[in-house]
Amino acid sequence: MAEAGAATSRARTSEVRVRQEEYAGWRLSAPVMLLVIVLLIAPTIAVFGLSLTDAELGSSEWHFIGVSNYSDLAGDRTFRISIWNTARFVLLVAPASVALGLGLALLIESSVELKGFFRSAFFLPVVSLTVAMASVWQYLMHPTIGPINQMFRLVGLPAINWLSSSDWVLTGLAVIGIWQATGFAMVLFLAGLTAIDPQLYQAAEIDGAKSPLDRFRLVTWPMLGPTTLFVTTVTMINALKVFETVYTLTEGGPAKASEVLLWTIFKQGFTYLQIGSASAMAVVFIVVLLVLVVLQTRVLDRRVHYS
Amino acid sequence: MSAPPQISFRSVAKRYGATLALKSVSLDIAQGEFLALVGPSGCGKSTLLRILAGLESLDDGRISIAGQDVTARRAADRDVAMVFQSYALYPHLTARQNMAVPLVMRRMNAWQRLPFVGPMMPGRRAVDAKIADKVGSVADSLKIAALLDRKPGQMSGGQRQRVALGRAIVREPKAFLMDEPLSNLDAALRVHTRSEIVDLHRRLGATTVYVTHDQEEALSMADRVAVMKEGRLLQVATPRAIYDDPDHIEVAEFIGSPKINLAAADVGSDGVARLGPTVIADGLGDFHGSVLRVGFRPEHGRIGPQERPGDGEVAVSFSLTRLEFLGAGAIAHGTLATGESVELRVGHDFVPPADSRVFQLVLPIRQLMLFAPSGDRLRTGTSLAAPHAAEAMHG
Repeated sequence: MAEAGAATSRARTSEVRVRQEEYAGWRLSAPVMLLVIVLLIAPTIAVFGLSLTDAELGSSEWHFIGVSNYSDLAGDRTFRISIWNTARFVLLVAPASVALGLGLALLIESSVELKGFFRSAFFLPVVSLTVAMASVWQYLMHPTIGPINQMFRLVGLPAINWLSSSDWVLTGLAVIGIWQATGFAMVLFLAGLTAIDPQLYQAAEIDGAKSPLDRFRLVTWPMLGPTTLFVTTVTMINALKVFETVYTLTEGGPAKASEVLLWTIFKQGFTYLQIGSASAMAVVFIVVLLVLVVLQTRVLDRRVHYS
Repeated sequence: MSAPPQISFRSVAKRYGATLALKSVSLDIAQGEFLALVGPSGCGKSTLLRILAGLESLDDGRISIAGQDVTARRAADRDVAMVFQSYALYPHLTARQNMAVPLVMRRMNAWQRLPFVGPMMPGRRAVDAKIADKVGSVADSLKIAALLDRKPGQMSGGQRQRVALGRAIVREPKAFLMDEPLSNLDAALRVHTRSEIVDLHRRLGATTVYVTHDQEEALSMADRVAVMKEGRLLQVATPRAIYDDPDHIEVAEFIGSPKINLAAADVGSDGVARLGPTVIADGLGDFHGSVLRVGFRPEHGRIGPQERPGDGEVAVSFSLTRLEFLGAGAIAHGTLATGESVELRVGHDFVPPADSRVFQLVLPIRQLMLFAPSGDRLRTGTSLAAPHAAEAMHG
């Protein structure tokens, strides 16, 4: 009897302890959860709520109009162009900057001297102000006095209206986008490279992997899997968010040839003051981002982590 | 060793900055021999192995494998296989693919190895079949056939270790190099795998260089043991000779568990060395005035209240401080009359009497080892092994 009683009281004390721990856990995480709710979740819900109204900036009166903002978007030609342009921009920038970033990282890692210099040099675009750099690019890409076109002429190529022809403007912006994103990808790849167990390279050498290509395929590329997945995801998201260069250099033109998502949302909300429909676009944008992230982590994660 | 050595180091030296990691190491290893490189951490044993593999450069000396000078050859061209301490398996490949890598790299040309188009290249199918056969038969011999489709992350340490062994074996290399392959396994598995590696070596007959910091591993596995310290080879000999007849006090101290017991022995003007009052050697006039060290293994002494030295034996007083019971036997910890603490193996039945902690420790003079102040073993000039030493003691 006494033993049974002791056992119950022991069980009770351990139950109390578990509950106390739970309580302490909630208390400790409360500040962060509060911030997450106020700064991240609440605004997202607010945007979603606004997207269901006809709210206009400056007008105090607004009504719930259901999903009609979304059905309007489906028929909006500008919005369709914007989505198409954004997709093309992402497909130009992400693969190129991931590949260039990896190439640079491999080159820098393999050289002994000037490692630090190259690392900083290629990282510079990441930390420099895009708006300030945009004016430099405007000069570089100027149709007549720009150095890029002057070089083209030197080798007999036709001059290109990088930022003012509707055929080339997206490519021009993509070049700037690649210039910015490559350094970031490179730094992440450098970190990934240093994390590879050097014994794997030694094993590969002993196993007879003599050429750098063999070693890359046997060790480097598979070991960089998680890094590559992360770099690709982040680069795509950053490319989706292209805005500053469009704002300062092309304003979506000419003839909507550089109309991209954020620029369209910005104009809708702050030029036309249509907060409701801008919010609907923003929700679409968030959904696209989420789908991308979930796809990449769920589908590819299983293929790059080997345990 | 009349046949030419399979592996030969000639005055190999290696510097890291100002420190000399290897000081002119010369060593021959015979075809089919199992040589253990043993020593405390930092003694240079791993460096020597990595230099042999070609993973590290040397600053001086030559290395040859199977009669060919490979000093300037890169690791991939030396045709040696290595088992790493961390196994170094490719985590994205299955056990089968891991084991196939050395064969794929050596038997397929660059075209056949290409992704996507490689499998369509001429001759690829025949090579594939041969590789699969070889991997299969090695996997059978290592009893890992059931694991072949698992990736390293899904295997236990012992299983990974076997796959790493398999990767080394499939190629039939000129030599196996093993860098502490058992130190990441738990104790029980380590002893088991130890005998498996020995069996494997016997079966394959391949020259093996085995680096370990565990003297027991070295003694139990190797044909010959090379004891290293501070970048130097102290002694290379059979396990029995290393244990029974060490050349140097460092070897004597490193090999054996519990450690060898050491006591100071003064050399008088008569050239006679004494352990306390007892004479243990003579003819040491050269060492007059200096203190020699006399060593004896824990299993070589008898203790008991009634023990008396017989012919060729000496006796010293020993006071017991602790008896460590180990089941089959026990270790008696105590101090000699001269102050040194010693450990002795005693039998299962040894029970110290309650009234006395002081015993006579009887040592056969034949089993005593005498070391000069420099640490070198003294074999000449002593009469340790001679029968009349016992009389000298009484004289």
